[in-house]
Amino acid sequence: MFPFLNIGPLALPTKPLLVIAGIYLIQWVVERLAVRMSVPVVLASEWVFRTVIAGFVGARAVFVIEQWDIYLRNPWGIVWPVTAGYAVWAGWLAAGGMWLWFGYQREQNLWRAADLFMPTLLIFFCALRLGDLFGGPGFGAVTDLFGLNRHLVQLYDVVVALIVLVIWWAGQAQRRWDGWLFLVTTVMFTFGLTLTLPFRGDPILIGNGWLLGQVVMIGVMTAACAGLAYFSVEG
Amino acid sequence: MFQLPQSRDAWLLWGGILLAIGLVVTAVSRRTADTPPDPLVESPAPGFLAPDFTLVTLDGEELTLSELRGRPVVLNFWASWCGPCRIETPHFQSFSENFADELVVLGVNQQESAEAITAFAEEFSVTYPLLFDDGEVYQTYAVFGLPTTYFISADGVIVDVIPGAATEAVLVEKVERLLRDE
Repeated sequence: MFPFLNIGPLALPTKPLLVIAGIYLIQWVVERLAVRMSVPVVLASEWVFRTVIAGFVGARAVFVIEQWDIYLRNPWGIVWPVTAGYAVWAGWLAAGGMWLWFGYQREQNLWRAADLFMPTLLIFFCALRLGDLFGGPGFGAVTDLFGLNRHLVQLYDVVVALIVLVIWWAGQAQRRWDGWLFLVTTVMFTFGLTLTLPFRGDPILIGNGWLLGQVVMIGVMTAACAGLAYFSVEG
Repeated sequence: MFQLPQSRDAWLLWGGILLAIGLVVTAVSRRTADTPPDPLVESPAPGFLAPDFTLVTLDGEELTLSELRGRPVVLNFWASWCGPCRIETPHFQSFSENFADELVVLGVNQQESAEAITAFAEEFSVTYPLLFDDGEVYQTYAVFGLPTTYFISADGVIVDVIPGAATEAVLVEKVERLLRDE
């Protein structure tokens, strides 16, 4: 839609701008929330920073490996920003791995930290999806609803993330044990994405036409529900 | 604000409800037998027959997509004011030169004047056909934003779509795949 913001002679790429804004916002948010969750602010800030860097490096490295034969002909393209490209799934995995490793190394309570970091994941997800909306990729399925050519699936995802953020906010005061807030918001987030995934134009299909994303979301939601039921008190 | 479930029983209940809804939605949204890609049906999606069109080139000649059957087509929707389109255009020109005998590159302009298109063609030394579109083909192909590029096989079936700007590496990979599958 608006892959570039044209300000006079400047043409600023929208998606990278939104991603940078998202990183700034999650740093700001986590530093303020860390105090509430009894996590040292400096440590929380470094935790976010390393997680984000690992995510970018992982996403870029896997993208280059996937297209190695092309980059062999143009090695400079590996670091040249104009030929940038990312394997998003690998970025999430690398970021998750770094997050766990850093917390483990610093002997942190990972469940409490998961409660704290959930909003950062949701905010960054919003930044990425808005970047996709303006930049073009991650497009929705074809539709003629409201005179649109395609479903605004990126916006649907953002709405889901914002609702989950509200639930996280409301749940802070109701948090009884470490990890509770993380599991609750995971249930809501994966449930929401299960509803929006069919509107994507390019879902990955597995056997018999099932959408891989939905199957993964159902699996994660079930695990999170089971965790909530297991650790909650009877009554 | 509102009370979230706290007890085991409440989570078993709510978890069951959400899971049931999720499973129903997942089952309903399965791409079942009535929605597989059909290479005989025109639709702007991979696996379907590329919707046919006839547009006028910069030279004033009519060009019909279906008449290009036999060679793969790279169909690029663009406009001169679109920044990423300007980055991509040299790559398309290079494909049209390097694979002149193997594939066809078409640039479908979005509702701009002949002067704007001519100036663009001169600026980037474009030699592949640039076509005028009053918005109809843009709508038919469900283009959401510029640039958007469709990769169409020699038998007229859409192989891939890139909505938005693509890197040179991605474009090269798609073209090589298109030629490999031919």
